[in-house]
Amino acid sequence: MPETGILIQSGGQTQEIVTADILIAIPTYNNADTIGSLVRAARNGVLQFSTYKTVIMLADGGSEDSTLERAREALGGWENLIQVLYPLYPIHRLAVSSQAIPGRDSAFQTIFSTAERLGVKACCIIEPGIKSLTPDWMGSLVQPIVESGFDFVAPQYLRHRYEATLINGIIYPMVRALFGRQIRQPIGNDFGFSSAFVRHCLSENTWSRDIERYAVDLCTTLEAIHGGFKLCQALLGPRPQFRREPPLDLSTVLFETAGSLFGLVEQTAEHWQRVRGSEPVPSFGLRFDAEHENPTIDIKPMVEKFRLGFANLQEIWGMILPPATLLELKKLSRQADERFLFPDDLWTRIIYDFAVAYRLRTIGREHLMGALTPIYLAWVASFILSVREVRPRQVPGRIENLCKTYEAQKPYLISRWRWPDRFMP
Amino acid sequence: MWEQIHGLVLQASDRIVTGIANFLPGVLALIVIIAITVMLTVIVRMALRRFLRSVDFDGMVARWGFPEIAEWSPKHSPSLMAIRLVNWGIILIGILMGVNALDATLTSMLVVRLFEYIPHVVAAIIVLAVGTFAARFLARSVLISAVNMRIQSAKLISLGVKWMVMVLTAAMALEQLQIGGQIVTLSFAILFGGIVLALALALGLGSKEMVSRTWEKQDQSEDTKDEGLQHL
Repeated sequence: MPETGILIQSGGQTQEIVTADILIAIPTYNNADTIGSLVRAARNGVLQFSTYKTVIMLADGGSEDSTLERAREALGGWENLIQVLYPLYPIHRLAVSSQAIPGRDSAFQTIFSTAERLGVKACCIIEPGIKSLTPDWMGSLVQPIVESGFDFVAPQYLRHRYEATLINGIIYPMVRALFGRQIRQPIGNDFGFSSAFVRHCLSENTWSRDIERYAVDLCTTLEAIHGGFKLCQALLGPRPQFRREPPLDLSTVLFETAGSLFGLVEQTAEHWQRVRGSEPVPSFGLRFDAEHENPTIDIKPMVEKFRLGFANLQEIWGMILPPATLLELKKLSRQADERFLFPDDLWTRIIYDFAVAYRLRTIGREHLMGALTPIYLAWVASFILSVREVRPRQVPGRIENLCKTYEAQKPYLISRWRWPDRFMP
Repeated sequence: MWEQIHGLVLQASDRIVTGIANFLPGVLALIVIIAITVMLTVIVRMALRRFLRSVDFDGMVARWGFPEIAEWSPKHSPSLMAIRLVNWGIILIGILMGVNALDATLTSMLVVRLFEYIPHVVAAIIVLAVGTFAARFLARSVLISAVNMRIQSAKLISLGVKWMVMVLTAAMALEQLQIGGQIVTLSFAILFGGIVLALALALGLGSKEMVSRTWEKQDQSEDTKDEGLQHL
């Protein structure tokens, strides 16, 4: 078990909390501006579990601001508080990442170790960087575990139709098609875990360190699927996040998320090639009304970037994509902006081709994800156009169609995976 | 007097004939060695070609990241270049052996010189390989980043970076080979300095307004590119 740091109860006492039933963990690093409301919501959420001994844990990476002081103030003398320092290595500090806190993998490891040490029945993780949350979140993430015997609770946020395009276009459909479970948010910020799953993660650490560093959430989701654990989803409603300033480069985000997924696909090739179709995952929690605001998005810069990519990156794309796909991209680049339509089957095959190229290291992996960026933006532009005029309840249908295409095209991925040169001249 | 002249002529003829008689076996040996070398070259070429084809050497070179080797000589594949390299190596060894049959002293001097020069050749090859790889990597990085930053002249910038690194690599390789001496270094310094100065002047004076307009346009497009869009 790794060193998890000191355990301090609120009020400065150093007496350790020996056991607990439920652990609500909040990983932090310099979150002084948002931690207060988050901890207050967690404190109120704990009231739902009056029959269980519930502990709130602050896993801090060594904040240099007043994060911990504000958290303690917000709790106002709450007794069952644990403060743990998770190790933050230079590689975490130096990395430019889309994650809410640096060293997220290390924080998860520390939380899991503490959960096992306390012998909790359920553990949930709520990440900072959120403007507001309701106490119901804790209930939605923990109740399926303590009352219905689930092992892994994935979050399901209410997102605007134009948001989470990376999850809608690559992560969700690909995880669903390859691993056979319809988990709507395979990567997220808030999860619930059972003690059995926590023990499993601590004993079966088989993922690549690099992938875990970038996408520990995706690793845990796939571990839950791979390990045959009982999965469900918690409907949490909107997750209003603070926008990162300056915004992170899109290629970096693609490298961390889609790149990590491709890496995990490589590691689990024996497993996913045997999976056929997909099964729905039960959902719990509150139902929320659909989106209210309707932001206007200009797709022109995205299409322009794709056209620029087509003019300049053909040589690189030619190393990754078969000639027939390049020809279709050529046709796509000539479409008018207002009728820009990226066919689902073309998009799916391109993603599968990039997954194969990631495995074969056809070009450097950061270059590969950089080369995917203009194509991804073209798909985003097409997706925005396709859902712009439809009713909110029709948007999931559009994503469902894409997922079915991913499932239908899976034999293409298997063929390319087994015989990579067959499609290339 | 005539007898003396006759004797000298005979002695000279004897020396020449003896010299030729001594030299002829060497020439014959040289011809035999070269003939064997040529035969060996043909056999090695056939065997090597078959072997390289069986291991897909061209594909391997491309996968290792050196497609530029083929670009240097577009009509020839990397395997053909490797075969030629081995052939010329065998021919060189054959010629050295043949010359050795003619005059051992000359050959040993040549061999000593050759072996003294080999480290320079190896260093130059390493410099070229690393330089080619670096040029390719940097050019690709610049191209992808420039496209993602919506810079219209992405390819031109990438090509510029590639050739800058290649010129630097070539200068370093020539220096290792001790060809050109200071001329290469000076030429490179003048060329490189000239390019930088030209770019500075072009940007500072001639294209000041154009660059300013480009940056403004770039800045505006950066501001609006992902407005209201959250990818995660």
